[in-house]
Amino acid sequence: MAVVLAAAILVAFILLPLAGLFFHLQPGDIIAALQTAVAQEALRLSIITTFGSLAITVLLGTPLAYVLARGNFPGRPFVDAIVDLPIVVPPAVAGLALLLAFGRNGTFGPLLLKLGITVSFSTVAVIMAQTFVASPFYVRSARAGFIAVDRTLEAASASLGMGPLRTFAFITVPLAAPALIGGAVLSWARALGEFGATIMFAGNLQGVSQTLPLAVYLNLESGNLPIAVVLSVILILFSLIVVIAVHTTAERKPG
Amino acid sequence: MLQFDLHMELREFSFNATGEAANGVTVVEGPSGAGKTTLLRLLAGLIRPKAGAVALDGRTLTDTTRNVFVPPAQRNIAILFQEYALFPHFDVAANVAYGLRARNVPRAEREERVMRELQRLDIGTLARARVTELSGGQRQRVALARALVVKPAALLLDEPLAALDVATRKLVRGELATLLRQVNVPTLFVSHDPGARQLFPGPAFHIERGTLTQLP
Repeated sequence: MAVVLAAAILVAFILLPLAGLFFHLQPGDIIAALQTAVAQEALRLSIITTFGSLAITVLLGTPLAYVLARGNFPGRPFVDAIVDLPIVVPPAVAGLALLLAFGRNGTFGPLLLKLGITVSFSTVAVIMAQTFVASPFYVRSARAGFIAVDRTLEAASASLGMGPLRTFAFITVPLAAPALIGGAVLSWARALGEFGATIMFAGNLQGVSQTLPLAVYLNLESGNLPIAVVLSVILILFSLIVVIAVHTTAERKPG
Repeated sequence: MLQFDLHMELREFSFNATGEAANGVTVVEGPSGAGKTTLLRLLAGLIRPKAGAVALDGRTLTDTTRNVFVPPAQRNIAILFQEYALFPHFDVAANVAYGLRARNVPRAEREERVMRELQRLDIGTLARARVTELSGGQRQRVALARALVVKPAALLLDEPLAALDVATRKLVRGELATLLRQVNVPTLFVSHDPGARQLFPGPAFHIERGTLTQLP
């Protein structure tokens, strides 16, 4: 009985505030909010930046995950730990670190400036902040997926005449697909919700770096509660889709 | 003719195998953990020896003194793995077609050769079946079809009967022997079961703690 009660309390604690947001929603507000430039630009920017950071994450994270799963090199535990670090580092700290590294006065600032690139407080900075905090979710999941692929199958593929790249494409990736997709979805969701590192490193400029979570914050601060609520509900709906997607891919098994 | 002279250090003993296998079946018997699978992996190029050489029909595949190492995909040595290693995300026909796809055989010819091989092994009706639904004996035939359809230059069988239950094993032994006698390439039949020699009364090796010796 006590167990059921404890479980019910936590579930209610998670569910009630989220559900409550929907009760703050007035039908007229939705249309009005969605017609404001601030909402539209935040939505557009969130979509562009999250898919940008996802593309970078998959492109660079897949080889990294494979090397971590299969490579046998000195310092692998060290690299493993580095990849996990952004998951536990506070996002605000990540944002400060990015600023001090790539900001105008940062370590690489002068070099970037010579190349005519100013990174901080730009859309590129948003993508960098998202990639920094979100890519570990993909790499971890992909690494676990690759480890679970039976290496004898890769050996069989090689002995049948397929080189390493085609073996990777025809055997390893399809068999690891649920983990790859699950990791990509999770990492995308983490990027979508990114707030701390973004506001530190990219600022809160409408149309440039003001993604959905930043717009929620700004509109709450400036007293536009209905817009903040509508944007929050949009974020919750995205989250719901992600949770459902992750649960269905996790249950599907190859073969 | 498959010739080899292979040396490497394993965890518990050093591995030394020198010998040759002519066309037809050569049995390699020895207790489990003696280095049988290591021998097959070295021949197929799945692992590199510390020192030594492998040559198949006069072509050098491995030679550590000249720094030659042909990758497994270019050796044309087919392996029947102990648990068959069928690709679980492909159906039977796609499994068998895999090696032909690797060799860029055109689709029409591929399908025809796959069908012919499946029928030869009496599993033509299983072409569209998922490999996860097959019995042990059927899996073995699919793995054999997949290995043979590419016309390999050598065939390596790693404990081909070990994954089967006793009843199926009895049933399959004779069939497998008949089939393998038709394959006219160097064929290494690795088994911990001394009965394998009765099945193939040809040349044979014994391996124990990494040391290969020719049997009389």
